[in-house]
Amino acid sequence: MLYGKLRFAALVLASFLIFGLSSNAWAHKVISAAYPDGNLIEGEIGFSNGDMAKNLLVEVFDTAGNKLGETTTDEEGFFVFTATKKIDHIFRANLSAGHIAMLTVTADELPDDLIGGSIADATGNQDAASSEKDAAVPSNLSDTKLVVMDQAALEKLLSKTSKEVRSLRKELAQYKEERRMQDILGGIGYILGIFGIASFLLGRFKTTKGA
Amino acid sequence: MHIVDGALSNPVLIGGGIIAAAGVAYSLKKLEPEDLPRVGVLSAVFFVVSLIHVPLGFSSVHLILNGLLGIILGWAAFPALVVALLLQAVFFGFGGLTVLGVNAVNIAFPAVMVFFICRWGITAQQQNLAKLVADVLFAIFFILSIWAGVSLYEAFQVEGATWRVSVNSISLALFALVMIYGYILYRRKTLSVAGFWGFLGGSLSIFFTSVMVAISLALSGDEFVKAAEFVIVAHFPVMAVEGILTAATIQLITKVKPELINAVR
Repeated sequence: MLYGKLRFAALVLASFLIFGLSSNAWAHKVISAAYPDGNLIEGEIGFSNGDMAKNLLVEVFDTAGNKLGETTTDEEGFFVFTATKKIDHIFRANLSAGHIAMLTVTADELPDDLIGGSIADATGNQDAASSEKDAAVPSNLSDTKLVVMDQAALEKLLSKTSKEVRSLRKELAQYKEERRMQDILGGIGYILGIFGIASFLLGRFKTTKGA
Repeated sequence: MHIVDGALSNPVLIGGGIIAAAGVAYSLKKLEPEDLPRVGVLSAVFFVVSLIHVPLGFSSVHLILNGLLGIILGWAAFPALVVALLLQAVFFGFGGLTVLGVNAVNIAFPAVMVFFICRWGITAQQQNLAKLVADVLFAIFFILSIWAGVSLYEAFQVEGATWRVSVNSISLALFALVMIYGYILYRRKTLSVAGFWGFLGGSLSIFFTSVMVAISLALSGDEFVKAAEFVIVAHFPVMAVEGILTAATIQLITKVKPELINAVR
């Protein structure tokens, strides 16, 4: 009998191990992020456990629902889309089994040299951009010491910075996904509290069996 | 198991919401105040158990335990699950607020079905009849699930062999092994009749749930076979594990606290 019980426990353990062999796409949350870099929009789609969505079709829409184009993710779940208009881009990917990744890149994250959604919009944007530029340039330019940098060095620095920002964003996204102990304990507390109040209320309206 | 916001069409969302509301209303009407602590505790169990993703291999999984909830709570599974799902959506973005109704129905309705199917078997006075029905039910369920798994497997073989297909066949084979092993344990009387009914209830509830998830995806436009491949086949290991866990729990409950489920010893 003891032998049988031990085997039962072993069976429970073994069946937990079965889990490792199955791909449980449904068990996770979809994580996705898009980082505009010039007129390129880079993004990634994956699951919260670290599995990335491979070779997945990503469709791009504007806010009105018109399709702007599509792209596919590579082996590491990354996709690249070249924006041609300075409008809001909505990326939508169906990971099937009820998982939808939805990303929005707003117009002001894109560079100003792109054509706007409409002509009036575009001129408006350009006006705003040019006035911003004017304000940004210090009026007493001659007084400031300018560090001269060649184009290559500047580009190198920029790509380094954007890489760093990207990894920071990724970490932030991961941090948001983390389930912390106090959240779980808090959830249990909420549940017990809700049912405590419910039993109080129910007790006022219904008499108990014994009474 | 938790469908996210945006995956379903509006009619499905509204329908799910209405059914869930009706289920909650009906169960609250039937509920006795002294049952509430039990509902609360099992709601918390579901809340925690489906949050803990066990990382194994390259994947991670979580349990649902709606079979156990159904057997112990019956109709009260509705409020228990709605509260737990609501908190999961608010705290962790698990599922979502608009899909709350559909998720609740997909998980709670199988629980209630299992309640009606298995509660009788667990509490039955005529042990021989309970045994006979359990055998028949086991055979039907086993053949049905294997048939579903194999036909889905074949449907995907046509499209070309991917590693998912081989993984699915392994998960199906292991499920079959565990089910047969459970049956052998029951025949050798390691598992009591009540425990075996728990075993059936635990795995049946996950089977119903995954079929319902596949249906709600199919109603929203996903191709049914594809949706079913994802949810049903991915749930075979969960069926096996939940069957065993529910069996162990029910067997323990019938021994130490049979009044919890009005079971005979």
